[in-house]
Parts: sequence; C-alpha cells; structure tokens
Amino acid sequence: MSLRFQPRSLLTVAFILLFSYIVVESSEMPIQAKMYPYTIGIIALLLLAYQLVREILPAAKTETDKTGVDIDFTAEESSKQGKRRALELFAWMYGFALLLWLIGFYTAAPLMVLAYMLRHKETLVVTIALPLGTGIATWYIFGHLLHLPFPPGVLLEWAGLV
Amino acid sequence: MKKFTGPLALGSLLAGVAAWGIADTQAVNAQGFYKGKTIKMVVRSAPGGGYDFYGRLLARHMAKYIPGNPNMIVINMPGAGGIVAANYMASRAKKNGTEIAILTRELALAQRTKEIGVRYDLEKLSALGSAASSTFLVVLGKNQPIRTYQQLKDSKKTVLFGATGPGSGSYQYPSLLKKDGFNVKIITGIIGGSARFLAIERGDTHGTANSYESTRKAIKELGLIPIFYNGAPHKALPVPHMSTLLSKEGKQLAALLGAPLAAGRPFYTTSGVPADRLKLLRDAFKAALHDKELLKEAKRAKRNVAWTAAGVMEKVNQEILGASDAVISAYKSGAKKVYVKHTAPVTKIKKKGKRIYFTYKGKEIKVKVSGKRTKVQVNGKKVKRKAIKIGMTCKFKFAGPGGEAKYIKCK
Amino acid sequence: MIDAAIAGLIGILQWKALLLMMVGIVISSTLVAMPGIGSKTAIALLLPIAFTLNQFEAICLIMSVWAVSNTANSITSILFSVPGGGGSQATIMDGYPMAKKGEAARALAASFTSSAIGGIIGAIVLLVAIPILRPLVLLLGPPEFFMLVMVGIAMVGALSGKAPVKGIIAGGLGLIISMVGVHIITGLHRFTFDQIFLIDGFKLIPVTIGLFAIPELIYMGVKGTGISDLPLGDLSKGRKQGIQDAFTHRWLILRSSLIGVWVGIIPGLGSAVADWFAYGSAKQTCPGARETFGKGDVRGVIAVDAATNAKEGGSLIPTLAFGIPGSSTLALIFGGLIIVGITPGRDMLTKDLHLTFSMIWLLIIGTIITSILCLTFTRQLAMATKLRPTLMIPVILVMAVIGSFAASSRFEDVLIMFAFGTIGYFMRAGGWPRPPLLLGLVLGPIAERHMWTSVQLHGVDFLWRPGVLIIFALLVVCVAYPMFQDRNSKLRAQETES
Repeated sequence: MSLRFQPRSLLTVAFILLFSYIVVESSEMPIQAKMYPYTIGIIALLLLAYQLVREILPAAKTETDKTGVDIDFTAEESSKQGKRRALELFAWMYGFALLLWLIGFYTAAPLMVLAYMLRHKETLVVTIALPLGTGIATWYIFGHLLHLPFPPGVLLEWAGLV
Repeated sequence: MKKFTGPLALGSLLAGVAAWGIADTQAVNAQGFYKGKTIKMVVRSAPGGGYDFYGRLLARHMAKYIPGNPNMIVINMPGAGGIVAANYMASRAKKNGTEIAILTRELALAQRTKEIGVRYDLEKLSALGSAASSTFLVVLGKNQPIRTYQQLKDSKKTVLFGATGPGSGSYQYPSLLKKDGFNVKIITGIIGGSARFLAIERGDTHGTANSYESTRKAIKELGLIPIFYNGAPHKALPVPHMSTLLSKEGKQLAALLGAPLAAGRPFYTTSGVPADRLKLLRDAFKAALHDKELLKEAKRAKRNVAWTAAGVMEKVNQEILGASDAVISAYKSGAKKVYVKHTAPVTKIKKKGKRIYFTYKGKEIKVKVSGKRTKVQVNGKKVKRKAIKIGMTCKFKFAGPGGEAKYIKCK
Repeated sequence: MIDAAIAGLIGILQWKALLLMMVGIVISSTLVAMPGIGSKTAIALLLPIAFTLNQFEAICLIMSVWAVSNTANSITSILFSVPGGGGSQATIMDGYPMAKKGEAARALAASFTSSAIGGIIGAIVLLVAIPILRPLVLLLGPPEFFMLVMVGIAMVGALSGKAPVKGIIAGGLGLIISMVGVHIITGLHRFTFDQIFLIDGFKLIPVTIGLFAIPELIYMGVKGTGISDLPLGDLSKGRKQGIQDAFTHRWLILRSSLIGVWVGIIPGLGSAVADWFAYGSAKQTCPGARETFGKGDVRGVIAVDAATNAKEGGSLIPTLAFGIPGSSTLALIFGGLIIVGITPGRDMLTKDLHLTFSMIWLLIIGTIITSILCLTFTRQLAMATKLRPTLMIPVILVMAVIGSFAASSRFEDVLIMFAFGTIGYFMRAGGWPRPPLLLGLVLGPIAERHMWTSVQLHGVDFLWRPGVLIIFALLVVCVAYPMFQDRNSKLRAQETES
C-alpha cells in the first residue's frame, strides 16, 4: 500500500513536534503547573496521530479542505501562481518587519507604502499621496497625540540620529 | 611680528569661539536646557491604576517648576511587573535628563532576588523622590470571630487567605504568617483585590492582604476588619504593626517586605544626568508635590501624597540590596515550598499509613505519606509506609501541617 | 426610585453634559475604530479634563467613551478583518465574508443596530436587577466560573464545523499558547525561555490580527481584487436591509444580549469571551446556521454585537453591588469618577441612586446616538471594500502593526503578529479552523485558574456543587442540541421521501 504524502501533512507533523515538546517539558513541572499542559498535550498528540494517519492513508476518505466554518482556502490560492503571490506578500511582510526594526515606525511605514506603490506601478498622484498621507496620519495621531512609544530603529540609534 | 598675525588671528578667533561656546554651554546648563524640550514620563504599568495616576499627576504639575517650562508627555510601558520600564530606563532611555519614570517600588527587591528578566542596575538610575508612601493591610471578613492580631495568632481554626499567586503581596504576607507558625492556609488564583474581597463576602475565604488604598472602600462597604499593617502607619488604622507578634526571622522578613513601601511611588531618571540638572529635577519634583493644585487633585481622587527625598529612597534601596542571604531566601521561599523538620512520637495512623499524625507546636497535625515521594526509614533501613507504628518516635521533614512529608525517619 | 430615575435623566440632559457626551462619543468612535486603540486609551486621555467638571458632566464624558466603544470597534473587523478591540473578533467570522460578498453596508448597519439594541437590553437588565444585585453576584464562585468556561470550551466543537478533530487540536493549541508565562497558582515560569516578552504571555490582539487579518491580506493580494469583488449594489438599500435584519432577528438579539449580560456579571471574563459565546450559541440554535455561519450570515454579526454591548450593562452589576469593578476598563472609569466624588459601592444604590440612573440613561442614549452616528457614515465606510488591493494592502499592513503594538507597547507583539500571520496562512491552507485557537487562548488561563482555586477551596468535590451541576446540564444541552436537531431533520427528510 503506497502512502500519500501531501504538503499539508507537514503542518500536522509540525504540530506533533510542538505538542511532543510541550509534553516533555511539562513532565518536569510540579503537579499544579503540569496538569493542564500535560493533559492537553497528550490528548492533542492522540488526535494528531489519528489525523496524520487519515491524511497519509490513501484508503481514507479524501480530506476535505473545507472546514465549513472558517474562511476557506480557494482554488485560486492553491494554484502555483497563488502560492507565488503569497510568497511575495510574505516577503513584503517580513521586509516591513525588518525595516521597522532598522529605521523605526514613523519612517518605515510611509517608506513601505511608497515601495509598494512603486512595485505595483500606481499612478503618480497615488504614489505620492498615500505614503504621505500614511506618514502624516500615523505620526500625528499615534505619535503626537497618543505618544505611542515606537522604538526608534536600530540603525538610526547607531547613527546617533535620535 | 608679521609671522604671527596669521596664527594669532586664527588663535584668537578660535579662542573667541571657544569662549562663546563655553559661555553658551553655561547658559544652556540647567536653566536654559529645558526650554523648548519635551520630557518623557515613563509609567511602568498600563493606563489606569495607581502608578499611572501618579505618573500623570506629576506630568501635569511638574513642568511649571522647571525653568523653560518644558512639555511633559506620558508614555505607558507595561510588562513583567515593571521590569520592562526599568530595563528601558537603565539602557535605552536618553541620558540627558529628558526622560524620567515612575518605576515599581519593588525595584531593589527584584534586583536583589535576581528576578528573571532583570537587566537594570540601580546604580544606573538616579532617584528623584517618591510621591507617596504605601501601607499594606491584612483584613478579615466581618463574619469571622477573629478581631485582633493576637486572636489571629492564637486561632485554632485554619484561617484561609485569598491570594493572587506566589510572589505577589497578597501571597507574601500570609506566607510570612504561616512560616511563623500562624494557622493559615493560602488559596491562590484569586486575582485582584476586588475578586479577593468578593471571595471573603462569599465565604470562600476569611481574609486577604492588600494595599490600604485599594482596601479602604471595601472596609467601609463590606465591613472588613483590619488586623495589622506593614509600611507607613496611617492615622485611620488603629491596628498594630506587623512585626509586633513575629519571631526574629519573621521581623526581618516583614522589614524586607515593608521597605519598598516607604518609597511607595518612586520616580527615577537615568544615570549620566549632569549634577545641576539632576538637582533641578529633584527640586521641581519636590515643589510639584507641595503644589496646591496637585494636592487638591490628589485629594479629590482620594490618593495620598507624601514627598520622600531622593536620599531617603536611595538609602532604602541600599538596605534592600544589602539584605542578608538568609532573609532573601526566606523571601524567595514565599514563592515555593519551605520545609519544616520536627521530631515527635506518632500518635495516630489513618488510611493504611497514608496519613500519619503527631504533635507539632502543641497541636496534633497530620502529614501525608506518599508511596513514591516520601522516604520512609526505620532504624536507618528503607521500609514501606506500612512499617510505621503508633508510638514510634520519628523525625519528619514536611511542608507544613497537612502537607506531604519529604522523609520520615523513625526508631 | 422613580424620582431618582427622573433626576438622573434630567442631570444628563443639561446642555453642557449633553455636549460632553457628544464629545466623548465622537472621540471614542474615531479612536476605538482604529485597531489596537481601545477605550482605555481614550479614557486615559480624557481623564485630566474630569477635574474641572461636575458629577453629571463627568459621567457623560467618561462613560460615553465606554458605552460606545463596543459599537465602533466592529468597523475594522467587518471591513478589513482587523479586530478593532477586545470585543470584536467574532464579528470577523461573518462580518468580513459579508463584506467580501459586497454586503458591507448591510453588515455594518446590522452591527450598529444590534449594538444599540443590545446595549439597551443590557441597561434594562441592570435596571431590573438593582434590587437583587447582591445575592446575584454572590451566587457564582470559582467552581461555577470553571464550569461556565467549560461550556465555552465545548463550543469549540461548534466552531470547528466539518473538521472536529482539527478543531479540537486547534483549541488545544490555543490553550497551550495561553499557558506561556507565569503560572498564577505556583509562580512558575512556563515555556518562557527566560524572555521578558514571554513572561507576560501572548496577548490576544496581536495573535488575532495575525491569525485573521494577515491571511486575508494575502488572499486579497493573490486574488488581485479589492475586499469585495462583487458589485456593491445600492449602499442605502444595503444599510436599510441591515437595520431591518436586526429587527427581524430580535429574539436572537435578546438571547445574545442575555448571554452578554451574564458574561458581564462574572468579573474577569471580559468582552473577548462574550462575543465567542454568543457566536457559538447562535450557531447552535439558529436554524440552518451550521451551514451558513462563517460564509456571511448576518445573524452571526447580529448575535455578536448585541452580546458585546449588553455585556457593558452586565459588568456594572458587580460594580454597583460591591464597588468591585466588573472589568479593568470600569476600574479605570471609576478611578476617574472618584475624582468628582462618585464612589462605586453601596451608596450608588441608596444615596446616589440618581447618579446610577444617569449612568443607565447614558448607556441607553449614548449607544443610540453612536449607532446613529455610525449608520450615517455606513455608506462611506462600505465603499472602502471596493478599493484596489494595491492601496488596501499596505495600509492594512500599517494598521496591523499599529494595532499589535499599541496594545502593550512592545515591539515583540508586532513580530508575534507576523508569526501568527504565517501560522494562520498555513492553517487555512491545510483546512485547520482558526476560531477554536482563539477560544482556547482566551479561555485557557481562566479555566485553569478557577479549577485550581476550586480544588483548593473544596477539593475535587467541587464538581458536585449544585451550581456546577446545573451549568454542566446546560453544557450537555448545548452539545446535544445540534445533534438532536440533525437527527430530527434527517427523520423529517426521510418522512417526506416516503
């Protein structure tokens, strides 16, 4: 019998690893701290084992992607193009996070918006207005009025600019 | 002479600039420094609550006592019980006197007990003063027959105290009593003074420990009975100080718990602030706390205000940092089990050896014997718990009356 | 009592008080609509003004902020799937799909209207309960709290739809995540790796934004069209439809509001629980809901928003009965009211009854005014769903960062948000339901804490207490009812066939 490995089983395996770690880690704890994580971990591992088996065995009913309650994955997203676009968006996200860390929020936000406009070749008006608007709005509301203490950015600190 | 005019001119020019620069720095020193600047007031907790109130109160009234009338803004930086704000002030905050903070009163204690996450050093912070002193109060419900401290000590019935969890004030105080032999049991997991008062009202617990400010209303509303206090005395509290009925070790621990309360709302700035600017800040702080408007606002909000000098704060911190290891380990064991050793003859055995009774401090108590975890020995030889018989004199190591025994060594 | 009621009403109808009410409403609506900025921030900003006001004015200003915060925070949930505050996560479940179907105006209108009605019901329950406040609050203790939370956890099943096994695992994951941090009972650090940001545990808002908003963002980017690729239709009609929907489903609103009030009475449960309870219960009880919820069923929006607003009235009950604030926001509010001499507690039910009534009136009037205000701008708000994704994605990303950061002013929360964004995407891809994870995250600490406190107080026998048994029966009914419904409809289907 040939087993069927789907990419989505990687997530199941990842969960198995996670819960195994939880069980091992909590076994050392005194009973009051241990009970919840340990019990939940064991139950989860049993269910995960069942889940993994269902995903792998070809005989089992085809695993539905549709949960029926959550906003489901569409055919579009599963396609190669969908995955590529998703990857690009992840790159934007993590790039933004990096930028935030480097130059702080009030500079990174408008910059990211600007970069995004340029990448998608938006009209000139929008390319100027949106980043500018974002920058001014965030600086005024969250910086000036509310004094949200965003970290100033590692590079700027190092350069002594803040 | 001609040869020197060039360098001479340059030299005088440089000297002139230098002199002007120094003169300008003098002018900028302290008096002129704060003009047009913004001072950040960092608050160690989320909006609302005591620390935030005092931080904002000072932020509203301190600026007018600083020459140059700078703008003061409040920034909340909650996390890890105030450790996040303290770490920030010790490392990332600007060290020129434009950042001040109200930090947790347990700062020195957390550093001395090497709390996880502590990355600040009190050496790297400069004290400005404290805005209020705190009093911690232990109260009991009105349906209890216990009305005084002495009655609490003599109580034969186990008194249940509601607490948040190990490490919190509500836990430390009953824990101290328990260590000193009071018949007290702590129920954890009841978060917030309000929830603890409700538990007393419901009859689940008998008492709790809380700051006086937060308890004052409940005393009036629910008829709670104050039993004793720690920290600053209060004229509305005719109860004894905690240390009056404690053993020597107990008194030391009570002193340790009470020390931070003297500087109950401590304000700091960073290290590296020039001496005259630091003095300016301290003076402004003191003046603000004597400001009529500030006092009026505080009175309306029913918050006490009492200025404590920076020097006093520093002394308190030094005392805490210099606390002996013995006291610190007693304090820390408020966070985990502490074991008692006692030798006595066995008076009763129940549940097939799982419960052993003997006399401890004049009362008959029981300890649990676990088949797995309790080491049982008779005459030096390892045996099962069934081997223990009434009348045998045994040495017990256990976590208090009713707790589990770590070992039982009998003859 | 009647004269106190009238005195209370007159007090807040003074022109200065009314003006301050409007100010509070406008400020609150705009600030709270932004993700991450909750009512607490708005109140903290307004508190200094309170020093100059009289009692009615202070009530109007400060409490109007609180009364309306649950209405406005649904806006970003519906439009962008970015939760605007603690009480608006479950709104995303059906509100956002409605926006995607081009029904944003309808969703917003239904949300605002049911918020108003729910708030009124909450205020009325409070009114009715005034004579019996004290015994009511004392009725429930840790054992009962624990079993109530178990009912919530049982709803994990309801929220898992066709993938119960995955749903339960996701719920377990949420429970585990909630355990990162200091264990309140033992003081032990669990799973913190000595990192400060983990000592305080995972905060709900960054996790929710990451889990829901980020995958939606990616979906938008993949699709290439705006949030809604369907024509928006007549926005005024949509708005009217939404308002009508709220009145059509008035019994649902009543049920959900009562759930909200109950959650409010129990100190410590909070908004985040009220919305999921109401959502789960609506799913269990509404006909056909098991199929349509999650795909843009307006009842999902109505139930949630009625409950979260009704909760406010409920949380005033322990506050008034004992002076024990029913939530941390109320603690902040009363901190402000003390400044003008209003102290919560027994006086509020006797000497200061008129002030209590003014608070109730404020809840009612303030909620209505806010809803009208929001309804006025519904069309404009709904148009946001037609904007190009290239414009929306970067802006939503910025909002997501602000929202995650503002909650606790920690940069790590932003990283946590992105991490959960990644996890959320893969969960969607693999067909793992996400709501149970949130439910586990919210209920985990509460369940554990109450269980251990109950054991300390009563031993394991706490399970046999009458209150606990009654609630357990409720739990069984909750779980069994849909199965019963299923069997009935199957039987009926068989009958029609034969």
